[in-house]
Amino acid sequence: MNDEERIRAYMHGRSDVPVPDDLHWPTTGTVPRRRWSISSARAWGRLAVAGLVMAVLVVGVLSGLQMPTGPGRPTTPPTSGSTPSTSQPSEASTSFPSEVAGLPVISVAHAVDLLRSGKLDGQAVAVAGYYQEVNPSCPAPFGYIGPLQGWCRFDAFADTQAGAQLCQPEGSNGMSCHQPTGTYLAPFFMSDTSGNVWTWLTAGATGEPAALVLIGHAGDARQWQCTASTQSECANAFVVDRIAWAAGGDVPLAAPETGDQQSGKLITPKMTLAQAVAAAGFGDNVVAAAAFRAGDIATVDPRWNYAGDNILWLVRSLGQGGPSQGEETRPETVSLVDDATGRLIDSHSLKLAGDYQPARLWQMAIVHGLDCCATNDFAFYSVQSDDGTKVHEGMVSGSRSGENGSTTFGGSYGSGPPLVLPAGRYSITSWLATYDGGAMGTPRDECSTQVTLRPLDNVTLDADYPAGQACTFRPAPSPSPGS
Amino acid sequence: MAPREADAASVAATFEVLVRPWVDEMYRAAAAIVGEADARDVTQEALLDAWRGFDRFRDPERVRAWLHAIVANRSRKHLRARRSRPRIVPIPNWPEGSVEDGSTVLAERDRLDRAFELLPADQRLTLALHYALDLSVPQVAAALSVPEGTVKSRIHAGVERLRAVLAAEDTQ
Repeated sequence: MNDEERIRAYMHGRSDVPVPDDLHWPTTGTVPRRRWSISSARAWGRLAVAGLVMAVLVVGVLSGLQMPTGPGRPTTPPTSGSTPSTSQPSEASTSFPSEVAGLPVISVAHAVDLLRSGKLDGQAVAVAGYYQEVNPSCPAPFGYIGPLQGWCRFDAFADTQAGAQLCQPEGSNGMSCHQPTGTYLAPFFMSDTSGNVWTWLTAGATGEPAALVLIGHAGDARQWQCTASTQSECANAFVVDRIAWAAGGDVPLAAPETGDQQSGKLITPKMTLAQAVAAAGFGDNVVAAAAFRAGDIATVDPRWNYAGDNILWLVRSLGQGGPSQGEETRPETVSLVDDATGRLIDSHSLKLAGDYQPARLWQMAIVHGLDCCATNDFAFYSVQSDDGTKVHEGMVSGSRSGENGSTTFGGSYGSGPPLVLPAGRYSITSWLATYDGGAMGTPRDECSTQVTLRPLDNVTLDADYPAGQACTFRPAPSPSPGS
Repeated sequence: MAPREADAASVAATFEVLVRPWVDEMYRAAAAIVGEADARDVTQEALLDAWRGFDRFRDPERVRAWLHAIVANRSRKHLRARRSRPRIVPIPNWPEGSVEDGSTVLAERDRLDRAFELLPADQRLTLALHYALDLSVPQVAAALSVPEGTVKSRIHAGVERLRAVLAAEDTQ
């Protein structure tokens, strides 16, 4: 044994000691001093606990359910047990329709094949299967989670009930859960999805999975709101346009309830869904439609960057194709209709153009001298393109965190989604203001800068506010969501 | 929008999920650095430090390096404080089945213990992480927040000191 080996053996000997099993676990005391909050309704929606709090956490871990320790989930379904088929699911107890909304209904396995081959990018498909989801008690994510990334969600849309059943009752109060197995989709029900999946999940996690037909697509534009490193995962997400069939019957198209993503107030459009569809002349081809504040449209389709509180309808409709042409997918078109006038503002293919290479602009602000997080003070940003058009104005999204004397809005700890902007030159302004009941107070401590964005840039702007003084822009502290 | 305070139970659950798997390694690292007699105190204090600093922790993928850094910092403080108080050196538990004569082995270990405890704290931390936990140079550098070159020089210096002990022993 040479000297280095002897030294290594000696050091191993020093560390090769029995570990006591009675170390005091520190979390039984008080929580860390720093306070934080998450202002994103979506994030809190995912953090919401549906009655499964520690029972699932404890029993789930014991029974093999891997509780999340970081972002991500299998949005690309596993290969094991895959049985590609063009037929409908073989579950004897459910008779799925053969066609919905002019689309042939296919199995989950077949949809998975189409997804993997890229044939669902911007294309609508109708898929029949069984859906189950478990909502465990979720920790706050450490860092940014894109809108099409899974965080602390366990769900499965599978061809069989058994394939989708994730939990079984165990004991008097607990349940035993496991990750989905076999071939499945992990569908994303978004703010623009027509139909509420909870309507059909009447028995919770231990009930029977719901038999559903979903119309959805992949290659959603929101993939650009994921980080560059997670974009491909987000691009493979199966995004639900509409729950088309459930509980043995067709589910009529309905506009989902939507909220102002800044104030949380319910959006109350002037037009009805039927009026919006009729005004724009989409007829029976509409698969989803929802009303949003103009300033929030970019959170659904980041190719549209608007500022303002006026209400717009975002409408997805099917193009030509379908069973009569022997096709199982159809291209989708997404359009904007002005709620005030019924005018069609713009439309484009749901499928991203091959040369679409925007930049990501992340925002954050650090305010010194501002105690976190009990006040109604917030940081705001506006972004103006070189031609003078205001393409964004709003609160710095994401969480606010900090302690006495310092508050961070956004940032790596809890950034909101980035602005996804075409390459170009932009003027950026940041300011502080109170925000109460949906009304912004008088801006203060404002500062501005200019930034040139190149294709695929990842830029994080950090507005730094010395106590009671105007802000200055500076390089974002590392790690930032854009780094 | 109604910002909400974080759920304390969720924070604790996250801490549990992230940190619990590394407690044994934290303890072994502490034992390697400060010795078994003080490893419990250091680990306990390091866990408390981790919990207190958990709000500033950002990257769950770096939890291991983060905990190593905390153990290293706590060990450094411990070594500093220990200079002024009497030292208790435990009799080591040597594994059974050693082919060497036990007394020789114990003597070598005792000499190495004495030499190791005379090393500057930074060399001890570095050697412990590198040789006891088998961390790579980049991993040690990340845990101690020093350049890799510094890690290499500390390893070199520390090994030379211990090697001198072994050489003296071999000539006896």
